[in-house]
Amino acid sequence: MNVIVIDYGMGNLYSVVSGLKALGVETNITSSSEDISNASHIILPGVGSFSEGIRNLKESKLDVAISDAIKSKNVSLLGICLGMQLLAERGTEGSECNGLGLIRGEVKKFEQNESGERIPHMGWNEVRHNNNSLMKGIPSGNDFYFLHSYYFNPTFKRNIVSTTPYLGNFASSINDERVWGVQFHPEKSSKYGLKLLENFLNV
Amino acid sequence: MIIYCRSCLFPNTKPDLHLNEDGECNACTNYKNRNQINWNERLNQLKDILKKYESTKSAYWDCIIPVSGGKDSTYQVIKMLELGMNPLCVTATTCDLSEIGRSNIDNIKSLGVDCIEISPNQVVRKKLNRIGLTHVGDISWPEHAGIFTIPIKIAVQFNVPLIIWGENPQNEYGGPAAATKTNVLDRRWLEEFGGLLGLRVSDLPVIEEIKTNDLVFYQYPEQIDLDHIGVTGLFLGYFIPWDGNSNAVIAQEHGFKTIDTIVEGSVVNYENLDNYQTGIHDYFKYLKFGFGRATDLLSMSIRRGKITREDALQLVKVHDGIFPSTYLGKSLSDILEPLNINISEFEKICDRFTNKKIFKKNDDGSLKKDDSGRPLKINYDNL
Repeated sequence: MNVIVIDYGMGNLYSVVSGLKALGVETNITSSSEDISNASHIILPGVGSFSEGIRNLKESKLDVAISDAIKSKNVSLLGICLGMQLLAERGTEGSECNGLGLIRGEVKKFEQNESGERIPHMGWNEVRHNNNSLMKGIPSGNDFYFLHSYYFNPTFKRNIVSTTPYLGNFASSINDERVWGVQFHPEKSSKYGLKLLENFLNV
Repeated sequence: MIIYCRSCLFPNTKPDLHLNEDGECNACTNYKNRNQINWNERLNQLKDILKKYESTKSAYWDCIIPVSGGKDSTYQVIKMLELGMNPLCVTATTCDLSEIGRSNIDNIKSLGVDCIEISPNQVVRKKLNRIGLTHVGDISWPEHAGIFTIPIKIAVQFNVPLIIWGENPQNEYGGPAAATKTNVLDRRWLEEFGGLLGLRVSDLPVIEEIKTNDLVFYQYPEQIDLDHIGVTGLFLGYFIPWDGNSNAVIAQEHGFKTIDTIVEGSVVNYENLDNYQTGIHDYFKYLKFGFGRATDLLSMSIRRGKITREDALQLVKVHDGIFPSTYLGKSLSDILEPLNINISEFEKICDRFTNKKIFKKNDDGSLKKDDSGRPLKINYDNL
């Protein structure tokens, strides 16, 4: 197993790395295309805006390296927060631009509705899942830690692994073949957060 | 059920906190690891670094010290002077500065150092306080951004590359190990742990009518400027064993003032004395995550063997999450007045940020509260 965390200047690397370390897994923080092509598990973390994130990936040609790795071999990828959003075909934050296009859908800003639920969505909230292998051993409805103002709107329902009841119901995690994305922060989410990271390494 | 660390009183509802198989949290294991550290070696490391900056100085000052006037920053100034440095002290004025806070800033000015105080536009700041409270539940959001960005901006402006921060808060408040082993504060650290809660400076003009020009002091400097000067931020707590209590004793020896009684919601009289909004900030922490300042302070004392977990728990039950009807003696309505928010609006905002799952409910589904208006937690300890 060769686990890498992609460093593309968008932060939130420390928590992920230390979460994996708690599981006894050593990770390589990298921004090299070569490391990506040699990895068995790729984690794409990140905080910040969609347009800046995708620009950074493109400037260092990591977008191509990631797409090639996913297409050509048996590698698994987990996008966390902004990392999940970047898997989409299109984003609207900052300016409208294309994402990695690894899972069909687009990223939209939450819109205020009558519920009075606040934006950004911040804090612990329920993740109701469909028993995808990523969620093995995690009770449906368990709380995870969220912090975001945009959400992934998948084109196909079949890609939805979990939903969270907030400002309607949004897809809080998604999956297509060996690519997963979670809007919440497993690395900040106590016991079941680590369980999810462990599941990802075991899929 | 809330699960608590078996050694201290941190709950598992605190983001980034992990309990190990023995039920002990990462703040406690970090603290135990401190015993393995050779502090003499660390101090020598610090001296070597300081010497480097002294000899290559391109400005009159050897380093920047961000100072609030509190016990820790007073200690930082004393320590740097002891080590032969000539610091430039930078104060980012708090959101609602108290009289004792002002007097402690003036005290630092009397220690024999040059000082700069930056006070961003107060009309804009009131708008930012309101946005912070209603959007992310942090009334002092602009302060929490400015205390990091302003000293770094001054470092760039005056060409002083070294910034001496205090303790890495990730150490004792529980945080990822990789972040606690680092001794450097950079943009990446700030984005991950600086407490900006997902509200970005660039979001602000969209939320309310605020000109980008009015937000200059809340913006992190451009990387190109930082690289040009070679700005490096060090955590002093990495090189010197940190203890808030002993810092307070040393600071008092040098003119730092405390108050007569313990601070509302806290268990001590020597910290968080400089911003009247702090009581609201701590109350929101309790509503969001089920713990307050008393838990922070007493957990540090438990780790240092100064109080038993059992005794500390009794104090936490009394002080954590107390409704902030006053702070440092100022009434809640007076504190909220500049934000144009009244008490009933405030209570509605509180409700929106409350994690309803960790508090007891009445039969009608409303939150069960004590006489002071504090919601009661579903459990205060492991069963």
